[in-house]
Amino acid sequence: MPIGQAKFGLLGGVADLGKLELIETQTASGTVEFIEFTNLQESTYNVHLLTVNNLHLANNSSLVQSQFSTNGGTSYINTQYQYAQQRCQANGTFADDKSVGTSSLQFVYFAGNGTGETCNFYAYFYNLGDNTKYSYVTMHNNYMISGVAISSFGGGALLQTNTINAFRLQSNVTNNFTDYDISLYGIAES
Amino acid sequence: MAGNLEFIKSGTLITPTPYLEIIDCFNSNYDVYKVVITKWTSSVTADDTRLRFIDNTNTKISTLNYDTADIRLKSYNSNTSEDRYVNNSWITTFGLDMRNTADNIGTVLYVYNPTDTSSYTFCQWQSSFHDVGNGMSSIKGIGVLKLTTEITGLAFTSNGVNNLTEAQVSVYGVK
Repeated sequence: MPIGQAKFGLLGGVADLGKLELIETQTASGTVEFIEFTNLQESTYNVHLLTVNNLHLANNSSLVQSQFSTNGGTSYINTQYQYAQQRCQANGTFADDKSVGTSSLQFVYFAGNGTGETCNFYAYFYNLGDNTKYSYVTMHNNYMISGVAISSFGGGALLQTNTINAFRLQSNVTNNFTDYDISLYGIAES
Repeated sequence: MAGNLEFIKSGTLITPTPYLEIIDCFNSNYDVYKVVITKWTSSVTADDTRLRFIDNTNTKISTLNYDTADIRLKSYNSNTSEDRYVNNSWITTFGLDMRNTADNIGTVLYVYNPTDTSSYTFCQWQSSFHDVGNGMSSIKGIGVLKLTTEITGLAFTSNGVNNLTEAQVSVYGVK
């Protein structure tokens, strides 16, 4: 037994199946301005996984962003977000995308809407339901603009110690989401 | 057939100590493991978040057999950092300088082939955290333990000496 084990709380020891638990899947229902998730079950899950598949944008060269809510989506926080991401473009451009004190978290930097050009990414959300912690995101995306493949990885944070019980995807252009298949999972026992 | 993510074990720090050890979390049932860090606080300035593997005698491996490469992205300036270590005594860095309770960290770490004695043990991770006095940062990194020892556990620490004040880690098998 390791020295100091009594100082830890250990749970488990027997495999416990099926811990990636689907909370909700949303698919396109016409052009929308926001894609909202208001059933996070944040008291059950410390970590959430969002998978975004084939997100089509109505407008070329537009952003995909996110905002968090403390009141189930009645209103959304528009301050104190920070993010830092590395963007890798197939045409040779590599860049840092970053911000402090911004009004939203960035998930995709200026994506295209040409034929076959969609946004795809995953994102983990940490401690949304813990009002003693900042809320964090790690993400990795893959998308295109003007025929150039792009991938960004990194993360972001909301530097507030609130209980977050909803979030939404949005864009810098209104009514920009035309097609998508997006799933939110909870990672149990996290 | 059972599928997807299977919970194995979690560890939570109860009283301050230099290591959070999770023993017997790897076995022959899985080749790939997902490890989630949801809480981390160290009271000492500029402490990192680091990892040593535990072998099948429940001994932390501290020999100079770890290689690491990571990139640290900062929200507050353009000085992206590359951390590179060859023949180091641990895998580093998951996060840096999280001294306040709210600062904390979010990490997903994958560990490959820890119990396979014909292969080194590899890992990769991605983190977001708040660096006190600076701002939010994100790290993506890879590491390897260049030993074919059977690995059965994890030992997270700041520097092996300073006490952690908060830590919580969950381990899952990936089928």
